[in-house]
Amino acid sequence: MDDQDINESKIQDAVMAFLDNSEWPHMPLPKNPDWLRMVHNGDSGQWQCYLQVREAQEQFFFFSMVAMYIPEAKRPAVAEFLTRANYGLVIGNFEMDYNDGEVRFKTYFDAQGFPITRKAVEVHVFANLATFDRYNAGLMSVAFGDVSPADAIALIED
Amino acid sequence: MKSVYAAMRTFFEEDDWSFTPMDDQPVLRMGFQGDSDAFNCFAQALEDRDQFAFYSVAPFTVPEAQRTAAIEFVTRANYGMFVGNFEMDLSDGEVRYCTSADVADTGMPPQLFKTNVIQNVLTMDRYLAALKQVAEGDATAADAIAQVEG
Repeated sequence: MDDQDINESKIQDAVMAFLDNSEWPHMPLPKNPDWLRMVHNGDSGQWQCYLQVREAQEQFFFFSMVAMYIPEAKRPAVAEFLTRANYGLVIGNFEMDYNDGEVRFKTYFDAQGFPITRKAVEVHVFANLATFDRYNAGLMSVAFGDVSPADAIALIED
Repeated sequence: MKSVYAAMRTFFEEDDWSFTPMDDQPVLRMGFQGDSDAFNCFAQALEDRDQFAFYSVAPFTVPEAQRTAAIEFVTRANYGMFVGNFEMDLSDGEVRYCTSADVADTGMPPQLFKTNVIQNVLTMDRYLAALKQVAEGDATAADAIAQVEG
């Protein structure tokens, strides 16, 4: 076993230790077992999450998914909301697929050769859930209501 | 645990970066010469949150008339990006690339700083010329991203 193998197993171990410890039900995607799917209930509602381990790159990613795709006409307004939200966020960022309107919030950890702990996974997952929960309702009010991006962000951050 | 600031300063010293500490702030400033242009960077320690962040700042701001296009550019660039993200200050048009790590439970090995710094400057360098075209009104966001990502 070379060094890369050792580190790969540690990332997977840390992720599974976190999931077992938190007793959070999760399911691998049938066509892509590096991705795990789970559901979270926050103050702003329920949403799907995905955890991805990139073994060779020694990275893991956690995504909170917006429940609905953003209609094409609303994508510029939502892009402005996401840009305003992202500015100054240190851990994590919102991103949108301009082609289909999928929006998600990403946190990641890039281990690059040093051991990663269960706690480090937990920190990046919980930071993700908390930030997504904080912005979720505001995002919905822009995407499916008549609230301007600037007003929606002001309601959240001021 | 060693402070985040002390650890990041040690990394930049040992990795032979030329930097300037900012007065009264846990921030180190430095320059980077990319293939497309030179740009400024800064490393920031957030001690109370056990976090480290590194930023590359575009050497121009986006004029107000082009900010809607730049929002689309930044949004398209961020989708699917693995490490880090672009962000834009809509009050002045500053665009920067951010990478970061929460170091509370990892310690601060040199690799942690190195990967965040290298990935950051390479990504800014890769997208900078296309961003400039959008900022100057010479390309749409979609076309500019297609130039970079193919």
